[in-house]
Amino acid sequence: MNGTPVITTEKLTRDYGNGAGVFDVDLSVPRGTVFGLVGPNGAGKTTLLSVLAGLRRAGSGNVRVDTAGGRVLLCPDVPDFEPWLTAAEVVVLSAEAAGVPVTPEDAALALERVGLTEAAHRRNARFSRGMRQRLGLAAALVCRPEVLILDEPASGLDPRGRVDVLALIRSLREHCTVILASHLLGDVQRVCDDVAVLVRGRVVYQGPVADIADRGRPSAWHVRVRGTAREVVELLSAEPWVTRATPVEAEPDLVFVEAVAAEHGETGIPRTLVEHGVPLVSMNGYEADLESAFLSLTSTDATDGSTR
Amino acid sequence: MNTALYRNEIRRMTRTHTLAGLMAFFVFFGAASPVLVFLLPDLLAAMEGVEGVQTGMADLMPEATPVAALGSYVENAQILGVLFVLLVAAGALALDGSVGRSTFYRVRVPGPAALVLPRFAVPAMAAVAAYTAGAVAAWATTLLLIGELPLGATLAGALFTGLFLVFAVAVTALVAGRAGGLLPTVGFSVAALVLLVLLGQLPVVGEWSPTTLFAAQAALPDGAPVTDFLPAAVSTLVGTAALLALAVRGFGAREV
Repeated sequence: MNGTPVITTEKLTRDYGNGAGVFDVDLSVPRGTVFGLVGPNGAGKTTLLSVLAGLRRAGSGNVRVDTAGGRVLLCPDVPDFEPWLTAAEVVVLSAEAAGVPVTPEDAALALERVGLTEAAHRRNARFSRGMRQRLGLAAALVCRPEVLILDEPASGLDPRGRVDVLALIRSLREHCTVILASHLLGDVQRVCDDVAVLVRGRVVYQGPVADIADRGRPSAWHVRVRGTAREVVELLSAEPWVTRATPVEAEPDLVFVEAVAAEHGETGIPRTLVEHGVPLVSMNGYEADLESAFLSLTSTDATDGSTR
Repeated sequence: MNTALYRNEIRRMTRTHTLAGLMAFFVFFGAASPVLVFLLPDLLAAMEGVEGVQTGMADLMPEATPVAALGSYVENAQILGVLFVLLVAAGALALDGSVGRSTFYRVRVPGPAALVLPRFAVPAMAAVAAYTAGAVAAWATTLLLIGELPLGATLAGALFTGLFLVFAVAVTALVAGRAGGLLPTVGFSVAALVLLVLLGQLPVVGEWSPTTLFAAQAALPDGAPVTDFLPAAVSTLVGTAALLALAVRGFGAREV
C-alpha cells in the first residue's frame, strides 16, 4: 500500500572510526515515493545505501525491508559491466542473474526508456560515464525491483540527459519505490517527494521536500518600486521586523531587504508600501530553494541528532 | 541453478579469447616438447666446436624415449601453464576489484555460491581441456617422431594433472574472496602454490601432496599403477571442495 514504509531503520549504526560511517539513523521510506537522500561529501550516504541494499552489514540497530519478496536493487554512482558485453546483453544478463524472465523485447524497451536504443548492440567498454549510468538504470529497470536505490544517477549526464533521466525517475514511483542519493539539490527538489538530510553520519532532517524547501524560504528580498529606493529604505528601516534595508548599487529603484523571518517580510513589505502609497513593481526572494535550506541544516551542529 | 551466470563465464572465455589462448599455449608446448627431445642430441652435436659449447654433450644426452617426450611436455608447461591458469581464474574471480561490477552482480544473485561457482567451474574446465589438448598433441607428436605411447594412460595422466589445475583455480577462488583485486589475487595465489610445492618436499606429505599429480603424466604411460596417485588425487579433491566452501564463505563475508 502506498505511503506505508517499505524500508525502516532503527538506530542504524555502522562506525568505521574517526567519525566515518552512519550513526543512530532512524529512517522511514514510504512505499511508492521517490525518497531523496542528500548530504555533503563524506556524510555517509553511500554507506547507508549499501547497508539498505544488503551490500554492507549494520554494526548495530535494525533495518527492516518490507518488500514481500520483491527485490532491492542498487545502482552505484559509477556502474561498471563486463566490457565485452553489449548494452543489450548487459540488460539481459541483469534480469537473468536476478532470476527475472526476460525477452529481447524487454531489454530493447528498457534501453529505449533510458535513451540507449542506438547503442544496444555496441560493447559497453567505451561507453561514457553518462551512458554507463543510463545502462545501469536500464539493467535495473528490467529486473522490476520493488525498491530501486540510485546513487547519484545523473551526475555524469549532460543537461538534456539529466532532464530525461529525472523525468524517468519521477515516472518510476508508479512501479516501485525509489531512493535517490544526490548532491544535485535541484534534482532532488524536482523529483523527490520526501527527503532525508545526512550530516556527519546522522539524519538531521527527514520529511517532505516541500517542508524542507519551506525552511529555505527567503528572509531576504530584492524589492523594486516605482519611485526612489532611498525613500523605501527609510520606510522599511523603521519597521521592527526589518533587520537590514539598503539600496542596490546602480539600480535606483531597487532595495535589498532582510527580515527576521520569511512571513514578516512576505506580508510586511507589501503592507508597508501600500500604507505609504509606494507602488510595488516586483519582489523577488533571495536564495529561494532547497540549497539554502540544506546549507542551513548542514552548517548547524549535526551531533545533536535533531530530526523531524 | 542459474545457468545465465555459467553462460556469462563461457562468453568471457570466448569473447576475451582466453580459451583460445589457453589452448594455443598448451597445444604449442605439447607439440613442441617431443620435437625438442627428438632434436636435442642432433642440435648439440651440430653445435660442437662452437666457442663456449662443451664437447661430448650430445653423447651425454639420454636416449629420446616416448615417456621422456611426454615428461618434457609437463616440465616445459608446468610453471608457465599454472601461472597462465591462475591469471585466467583471477580474471574471472577477482570481481571485487571493481566496485561497480561487484555491485552489479552482488545485488542480483541469490547468494555468494552463485557468484563463485560459475567463476570457478568454467576456468577450471577450460584449464583441464587445454591441458588435455596439449597432452594429446604431445602424444601425437611423440608417436610421429619417437615411438608409441598408450593413449589411455596418457589421458589418465592428463586427468590427474588436470586435477591439480582445478585445485589451483580453487586456491585462486579462496584468495579472490579475501584479496579482492586482480593483482593481489594472482600474487597471493602464486605464493600459496609455492608454499604448497615446498610442503610437498616433506617426506610425510609427499604422496598426499597435490603437486605429486604432475608426475602422473609421464609415470602412468610408463607403467606406474594408478593407485600410486590415488592418495594425492583424494587429498586434491577434498582440498578443492574445502577451498571452495571457504571461498563461498569469504565472498559472502566480504563487503563492497
